[in-house]
Amino acid sequence: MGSIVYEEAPKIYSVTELTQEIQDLIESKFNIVWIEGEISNFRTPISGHYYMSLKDKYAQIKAVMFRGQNRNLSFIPKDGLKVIAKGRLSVYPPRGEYQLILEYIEPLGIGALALAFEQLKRKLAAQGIFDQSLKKPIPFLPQRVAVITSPTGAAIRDFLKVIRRRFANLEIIIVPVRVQGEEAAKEIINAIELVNSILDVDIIVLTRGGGSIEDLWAFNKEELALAIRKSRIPIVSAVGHEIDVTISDLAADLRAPTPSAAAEILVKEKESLVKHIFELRERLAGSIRNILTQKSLELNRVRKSLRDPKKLIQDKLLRADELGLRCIRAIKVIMEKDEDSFYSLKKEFFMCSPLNKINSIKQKLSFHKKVISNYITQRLRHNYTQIERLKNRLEDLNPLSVLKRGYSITIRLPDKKVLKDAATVKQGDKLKILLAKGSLIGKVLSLEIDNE
Amino acid sequence: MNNNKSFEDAMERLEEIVNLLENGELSLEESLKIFEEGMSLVKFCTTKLEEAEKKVSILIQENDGYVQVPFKDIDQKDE
Repeated sequence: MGSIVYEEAPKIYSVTELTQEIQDLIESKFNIVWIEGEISNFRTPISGHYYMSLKDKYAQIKAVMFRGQNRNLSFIPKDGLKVIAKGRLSVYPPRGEYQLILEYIEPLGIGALALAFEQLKRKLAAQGIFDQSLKKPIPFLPQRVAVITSPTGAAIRDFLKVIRRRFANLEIIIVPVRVQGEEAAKEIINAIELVNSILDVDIIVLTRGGGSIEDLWAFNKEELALAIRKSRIPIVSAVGHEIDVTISDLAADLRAPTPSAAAEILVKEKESLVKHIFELRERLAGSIRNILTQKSLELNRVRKSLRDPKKLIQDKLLRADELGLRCIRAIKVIMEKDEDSFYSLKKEFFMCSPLNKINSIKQKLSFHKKVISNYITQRLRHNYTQIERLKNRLEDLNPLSVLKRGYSITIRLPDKKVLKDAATVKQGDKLKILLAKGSLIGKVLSLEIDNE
Repeated sequence: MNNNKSFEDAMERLEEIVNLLENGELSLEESLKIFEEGMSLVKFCTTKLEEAEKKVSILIQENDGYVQVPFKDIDQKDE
């Protein structure tokens, strides 16, 4: 029992030999291999290489993708991602382990959709489909709303629950569509076009409850993004849970994180307005109350200060009388008090009178007057005698007085030239001889010229 | 849209009136006048807000066209 029976001499491998043979066998057989599996235990050390395991329900294989290769991937692998990978199998003798050296990984299933999502998102963003400038404004106070969704889904229930809780008076028209499966995207696109053409609504809500990426896939279609962009009526997109972002959300005029949130957005404005109007009404009433109170206080104050004008006049009369009496009394007091000092002042006043001064100045003045008049008379007399003397002298010099002494003056006519030299006249010239009294007119009969 | 414009105008005027009254710089006559205006604006705005019809319907294809029929969901039956 328990003994080993050897039929032939067995070949005994060393560990290295066996490992070597395994390595040769494995590496030559699986030099290029395609494998499908789910990524788990994914990690990236500082080296930048990707380490992971690929597994399925019953088995797993270690795998590595070196940095040189993984740079070419458009996505970062993560646990749970189903992939198709290409690589070669490699044995590592020191640890007795084998692993896949991967050259290429392609997402499968969810992974492929995620990749497609990223690619479409990038493409549409490049086309400007998500541009903020294209977003239509969400109408102020929407009153008619079209909800494109499944009538039996959780989304419409959540949406209506919020609307009812908030007592919002909205008119809601549900446009039923399938929200998952092959036909969903097409139905949603048709619904958007239908609402735009036959319904008079303020806004469209496009909504669906949460689900896997496959479930939400209808909302990640390029055609849907274009249809949303084309819609004349603004669209709110609320697809999946808060963390799920779909192409529909990105293309819509507004993204609501959940169906309930979409309902909140629609009713919130109205609610806050109702509240605000209520506040304004309170303030309005409050301030008019204040004004009325204040005005009535003012009125009372004014009324108190109002009095009968007759009484006002009587008051003034009494006051005038009183003031008159007080004046008289005051003057009397002053007069009595000052009577003595009045008399002494009077005396002083007369002593100080300028009359005294005036009289003495008057006397001085008349004395000066006499002096001046004597002086002037004397002066005048002196001047007269001088004038008389000068007159006599002038008399002597007058040529006429010479004539009186028997001289005469001869002038030639008609030029009236006084003649001093006989040589200046000719025979026959007319002459006038001036005498002391009267004159003679004659003619030159002959000339006697003195020659010296 | 026009309706909304007049609603917004009304709200704006209402705010203005409340501020005017609160400043208390108006005469009593003016105050009473704009108070009345304010109250009628409150009424107008409230009516505007309550104006919309409160109903939920579903669009159903019938023959060649579409009809709207009242919509009842599970939660509503519970109420």
